[in-house]
Amino acid sequence: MAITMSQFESELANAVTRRRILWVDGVGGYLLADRDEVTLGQAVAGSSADIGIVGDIRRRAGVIRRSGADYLLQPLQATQLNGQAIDRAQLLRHSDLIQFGERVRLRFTQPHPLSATARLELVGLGKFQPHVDAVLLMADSCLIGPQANCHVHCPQWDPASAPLTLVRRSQDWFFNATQELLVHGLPQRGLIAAVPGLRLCGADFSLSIE
Amino acid sequence: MLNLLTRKKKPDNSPGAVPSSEPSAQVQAASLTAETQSAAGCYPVKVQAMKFKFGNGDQPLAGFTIKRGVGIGGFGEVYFAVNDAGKEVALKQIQRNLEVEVRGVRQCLNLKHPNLIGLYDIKFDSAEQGWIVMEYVAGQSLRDAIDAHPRGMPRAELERWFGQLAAGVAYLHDHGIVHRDLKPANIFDDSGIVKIGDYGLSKFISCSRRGGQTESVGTFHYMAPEIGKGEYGKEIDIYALGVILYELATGRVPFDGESSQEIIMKHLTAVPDLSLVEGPLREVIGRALTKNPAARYHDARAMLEPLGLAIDERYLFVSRAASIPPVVTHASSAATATQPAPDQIPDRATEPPRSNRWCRSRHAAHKPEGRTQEHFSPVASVYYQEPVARKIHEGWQGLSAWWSRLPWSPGQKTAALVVLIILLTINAGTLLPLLIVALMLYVPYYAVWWTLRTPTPSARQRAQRTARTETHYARQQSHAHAAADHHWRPEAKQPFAQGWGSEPPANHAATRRAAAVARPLSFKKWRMARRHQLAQVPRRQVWSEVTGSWIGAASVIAVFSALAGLFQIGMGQAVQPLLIGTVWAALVALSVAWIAIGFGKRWQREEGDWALRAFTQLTSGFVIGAFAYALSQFLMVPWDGLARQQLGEIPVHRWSGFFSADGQPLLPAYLAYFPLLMGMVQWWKQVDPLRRTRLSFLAVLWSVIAASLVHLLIPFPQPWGALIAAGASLAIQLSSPWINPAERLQA
Repeated sequence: MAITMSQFESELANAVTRRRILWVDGVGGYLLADRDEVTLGQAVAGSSADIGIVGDIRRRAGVIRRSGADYLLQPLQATQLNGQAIDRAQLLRHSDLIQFGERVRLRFTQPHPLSATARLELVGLGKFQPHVDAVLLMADSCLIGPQANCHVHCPQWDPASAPLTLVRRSQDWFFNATQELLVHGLPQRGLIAAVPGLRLCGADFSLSIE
Repeated sequence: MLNLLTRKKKPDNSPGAVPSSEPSAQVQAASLTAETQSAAGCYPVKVQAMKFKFGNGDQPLAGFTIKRGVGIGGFGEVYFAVNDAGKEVALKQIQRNLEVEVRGVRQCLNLKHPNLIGLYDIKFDSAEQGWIVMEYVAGQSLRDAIDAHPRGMPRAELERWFGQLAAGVAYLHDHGIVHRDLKPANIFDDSGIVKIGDYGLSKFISCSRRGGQTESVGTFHYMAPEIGKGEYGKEIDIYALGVILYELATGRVPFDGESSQEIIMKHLTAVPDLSLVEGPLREVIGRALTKNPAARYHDARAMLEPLGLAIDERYLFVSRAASIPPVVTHASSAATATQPAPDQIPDRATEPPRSNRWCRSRHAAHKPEGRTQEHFSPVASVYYQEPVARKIHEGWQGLSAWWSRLPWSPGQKTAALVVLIILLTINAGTLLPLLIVALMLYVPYYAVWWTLRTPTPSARQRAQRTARTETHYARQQSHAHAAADHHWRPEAKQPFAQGWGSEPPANHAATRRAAAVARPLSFKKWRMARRHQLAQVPRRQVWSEVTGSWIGAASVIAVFSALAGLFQIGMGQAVQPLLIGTVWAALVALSVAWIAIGFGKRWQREEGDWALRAFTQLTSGFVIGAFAYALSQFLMVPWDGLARQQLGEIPVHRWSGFFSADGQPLLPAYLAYFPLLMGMVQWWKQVDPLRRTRLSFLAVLWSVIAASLVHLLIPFPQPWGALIAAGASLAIQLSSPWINPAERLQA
């Protein structure tokens, strides 16, 4: 039985080690982090951090761990949560402000009430490496659309259109296209695998996966 | 002055126009008709803005890899790209590729100012398409910032944006360049530094940068009236600054309308409504928006002076805000008075401080008061002093909080309520008598409780004690409420307890002392936090805990089986078969305990999936079954002497595959019984260091019940099956490490 368990785990590990970036034209770049546990740390060569930040923080500054719909922040260096110093794991709430060290500040949000997916943005100084606008801690779904409660908020899209969804199906991510979209120029609908190199065009938008 | 263009009045222009060699074919042409016509051509109703020719990974220009599209304007598309060395740049296509356009950019190539987006280079690709290589700014545009403050920005924000904007414009003007297309969509925030874009190109720009319809109309919002006459002095930038300042202060533009024609008419004739703006801002905006360019400020610097701001000789924005008195309306001072100190409020409860606003607010100050009252209300539950009533009340509050936080739609909630009511009605026949019995029990109980608590000679002490527990309770209540309000902060001081009245002053001190103590965690949160720490425990340590627990389980089982054996002997029963049976049962229970501990420790890292764990345990039951069978063969357990009369089983035992003719269990019986037993009981919960109590008799009882349930199906000789389950449960719980949850109350 133990063998079966470790097989499960190794499969899981294989599925989640890739790093993907969603580039939405006219909106921004988003690092898709779909592990249940991500390490934040300084972006230096050979860093083991899943989310690299160009800033004055440790190589491993903290760990964010998802458990169901909840997120826990385990500090690994001097850390403040909403201005209070913390020294042990804390539950993260929508709109919490995390500060590592003196300068690097991150805003944690869970924009959509029905999705556990969360968003991390840098406030003020510092930037992510690679240079993206936000990191999405992907649970099971992610909304990209004109509505304010979308994880990727695209204010310029046609406000009447339904959001485009990214869904997890057996450890892989797919766009769920309710309308016909152009994939590398060819019309397609239904599930479209969000693999690197994908180029997707809708009626009034385009996006890529790196 | 950069004045490369000869302007002619020629209204033929549309965004996709074939590159024209005639530089006058621009939207910013002179006549009003030209403006409106070009508007019709330029801004299609259907927004096509955010589709780009190039996508991630494309290399239209050698040496640069596109990351994503940033924006589209009449001049072409703008991309975020990275060069081969890793430098991040913005690439802007020069759409029409005109010699004058390139010359205009070249003129600005070596301007250097922190508030201007830096231009690096002009390059041509293989198709002779011109590209401007420039600084990439990741932050939001002023458009986004204004949209985020629909009723005007706080004063500090306004000063930051406007001061730096004016500094950049002053620098441009002093270098002989008129921007001509100043608008929020062209102004960006780069980590606090304001950056002006699109200078140099601006006179060629026909469409807005964003291309969206609202925004495109917005282009007209910033156009000075004299543009219609073909005058392009730096006064048009001053006018645009006036419009932007108005928008910063109020969240809206001074001249708005349904059509571009209407907006332009207002620019030409209407007087801006300055009643929304106060103090020095009103004068500055009023003068900047004067129709006659000569009557406006001649310099961006002069606009800052009345606001207490300035630009120094290096063209850097400096603030002199301290020299002018703040403008505070009555409503806003009331708001600050009712609001608790900002450091005591969780972030989301904080409204932007109103006193920082120059803009008059219509809805000032009602919200904070409502919020404060909201926090007072739950204290009423303090009056339930009787423990049972209080528990019920608490439970009800928790339930309603849970219900209101439930992420269901109102329809789903109504449906659930209807189902609940139907269920209650159907079962009213059984529920009502139960309720009546409970009431009949409660009334005498309450009477007794009430007589016992009536004041005695030492009543004062007791009253004080009660008051203190009440205070404590009030504190917990507000905690619960604060948590329900989505503001859980671990070390936050408790701000509301002091507002709780109706107690003698001495208790206020107690309340304050109590309030200074960190708030205890709820069990669930404590468990989450601890679980997270458990996940960090290295494998080696877990393994040493496992071996420790195995030894512990062995000794517990040894003690219990020795006791059981002694009792049986004492009762004068046949010795040898009993001893053999006890040894067999002890060893099997030990194997159950060991396997359960092994899995449980492995799974303590997270709250896991029930089904997968139960299935894994069930599978391991085959190993135990095989072991139990082998052991019984080896020890030659005399089942016929051991098995008690079998009660209430399904006639499965007559199945010859499970039991031999004389009632001896065969291998299939073992292989069916133990997997079911392992699958029925959630053993890992008994191993979990975060269980509520070290030894839960309920858990032992459930293990026995599970064994009996399995027994109904497969009548394994009893009481041995139940004994094995009980023994394993006891051994597991006693030997597994346990973290006392009481620690969360100390914190």
